Amino acid sequence: MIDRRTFLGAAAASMLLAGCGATPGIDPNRAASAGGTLKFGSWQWLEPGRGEAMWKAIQAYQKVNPSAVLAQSTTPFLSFADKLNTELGGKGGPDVFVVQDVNFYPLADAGILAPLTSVISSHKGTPFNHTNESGLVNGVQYGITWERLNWNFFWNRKILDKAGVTPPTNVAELISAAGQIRSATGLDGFGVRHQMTEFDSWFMDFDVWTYGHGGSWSDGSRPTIDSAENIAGVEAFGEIYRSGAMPIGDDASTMRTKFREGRLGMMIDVSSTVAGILRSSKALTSADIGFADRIPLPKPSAHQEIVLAVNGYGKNKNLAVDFVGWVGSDEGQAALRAAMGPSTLATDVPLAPDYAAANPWAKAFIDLASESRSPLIRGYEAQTKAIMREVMTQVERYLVDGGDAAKALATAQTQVTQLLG
Amino acid sequence: MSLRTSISPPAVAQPPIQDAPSRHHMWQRISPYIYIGPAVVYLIIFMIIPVVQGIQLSFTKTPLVRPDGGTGVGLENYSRLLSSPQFYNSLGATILYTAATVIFAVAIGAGSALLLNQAFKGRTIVRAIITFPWAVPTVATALIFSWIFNRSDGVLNEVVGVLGVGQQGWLVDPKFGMAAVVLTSVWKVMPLVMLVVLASLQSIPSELYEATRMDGAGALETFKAVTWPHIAPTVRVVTLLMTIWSIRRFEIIYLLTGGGPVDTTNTLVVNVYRQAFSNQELGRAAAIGALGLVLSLLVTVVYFMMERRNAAKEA
Repeated sequence: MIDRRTFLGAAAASMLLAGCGATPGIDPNRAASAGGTLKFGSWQWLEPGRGEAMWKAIQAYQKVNPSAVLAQSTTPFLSFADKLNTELGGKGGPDVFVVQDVNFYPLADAGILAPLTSVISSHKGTPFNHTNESGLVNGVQYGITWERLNWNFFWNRKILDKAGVTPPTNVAELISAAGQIRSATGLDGFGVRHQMTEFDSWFMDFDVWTYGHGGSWSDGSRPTIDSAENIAGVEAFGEIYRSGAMPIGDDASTMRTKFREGRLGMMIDVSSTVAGILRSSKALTSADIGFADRIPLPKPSAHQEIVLAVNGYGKNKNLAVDFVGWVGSDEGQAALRAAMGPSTLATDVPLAPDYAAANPWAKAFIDLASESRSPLIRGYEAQTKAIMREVMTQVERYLVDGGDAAKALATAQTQVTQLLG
Repeated sequence: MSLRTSISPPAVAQPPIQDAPSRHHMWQRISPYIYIGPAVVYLIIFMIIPVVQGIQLSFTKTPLVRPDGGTGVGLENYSRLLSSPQFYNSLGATILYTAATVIFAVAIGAGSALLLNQAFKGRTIVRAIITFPWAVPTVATALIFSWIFNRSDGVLNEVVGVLGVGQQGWLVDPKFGMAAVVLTSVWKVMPLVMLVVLASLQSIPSELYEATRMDGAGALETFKAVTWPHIAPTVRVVTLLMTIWSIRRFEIIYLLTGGGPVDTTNTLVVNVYRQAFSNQELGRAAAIGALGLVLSLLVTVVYFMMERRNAAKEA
């Protein structure tokens, strides 16, 4: 006969075991059987065509884990980071989300993301590539690459042919080519972001010019805003800005529309822009897109990285970690490859042969990931946006008021030094 | 059972006669609290507690993503702000924006109301047309004006081009940024001033106008003797409201210029947003907010002082 003490002991042990089963440790293989609903936060679900393709691709996870249900949490790009930060600050938010690396770093640094150590340690198949270093913060892996978007230079072949322009290979040629397009066709020659209303994207775009001249915003221990290389980058941008061949005042969306409609000759933008333009353009086909192997600047350029991370306050944290593990698997990467198009992914999964053949520009964008640089400022990663706010304000002053780029960046250097205390 | 017993109401339903005055007295005492209770609770929960918490926050260093993880820094946020040229630039932009918006909105709104108070054919249609901007959503207003002001394709540059003026960067040139934002704001808020002043004008008894006409007063004398004294309190109130709303206006400014060009439209409210969300410094944002609150309170205090002086003069 079971006495009372034995019964209570057995009951307590059963409850403990049951409890362990309900909230397993971060072990992807076990979590997969747990099931539940995963809210996946992203602005990309709203991207026409591409968002639907991505969403369809990740549905494959539900075949691997039939007890999991994926649900969208959608916010437009412009307010995505603000909303996510506010939600996470209130210990809420989606279970799993994508976020730009400049917004990812402060979240990881604040310790409110779930570590993905088990995803890395249990990973099999094609190894994770170097882009995943963006997910490593304070020695802990908090995110893996969702996609890396590299900036490159591309043009409308028809417009350049009509204007009798050969593709430029340096800044002087770029300015000249843009001017020729304007004078020969009446169209805008070259478009790139250039105003503070688009600060959240412009400061990353702008790295193309300073990185392209070998510049950095810090040496890891102190800001180097007013370095000679950065000044050269700002001056180069100033020349093209004042050339009269740029549609000053147009935002990125307007410039992309103009390019899509055959009203803009050349652009520097990320890979997803070209894919988006071609998906919705009646005037252009992939064959009309001319592209360079790299931006016509002396040094490697910049990238924008979108990181996949797990909410440390999420209700289904373990399931979310399991999902991230699946995204990094060969199966997940293959599913995403087709949807992502010309982006660099977490592993070096190749483009589908038919897509690569139809879109020869795509590989050029992907290959740039090998040497492209992050917008995060070394040693001051969490303060990147605050630092760049000061820098870009002075750059804007230089662009619209003229004057001396060195003086503008010296002012920014002083202000950033004060900001950092 | 007697008839009397059968028709008598139950004893419990009939309160003792001597209790009625005391219950009535008690109701009179507590009823005001019951009536104002919901409003007080609302004000405490949605106004007073957030303001107090905001002020508390301004004495801390608190990151956006860790709002409960702030550390006390005393007056550091305030001392850094008050020693920063950017803060004074922001304060100056706020005062300039507010003054220009209020002056133009009130002057044009009141002038329109005076015109539309006259009898003429099609008056109702004109009133409806002038009221229209107030009904347009603010975000839509900002987007439409951003297209109008666009340097390369905007309508405004087409118009000034006809006049022989070259392309201007209305939203990218520091010379024009504030003017563009003020113009958009005035277009949006002016109809409200017009409607309020018009309502006030329509409440003036027509006998007063007849009396001044019989006295041989001209238009200007009539305005000074009848119209202005009647609409002045309304104009003062609407000016106060316009001032406070302008100090805290965000959408139009942020969507048109984002605080640029070169921080010329970086008003206190835009600065609060930048500090809180872009720089993720809730404590510093709260300090700017607290100083903005002081500015609004100053305006209100000045208004009430003027009202008191006017009341004393009239008495």
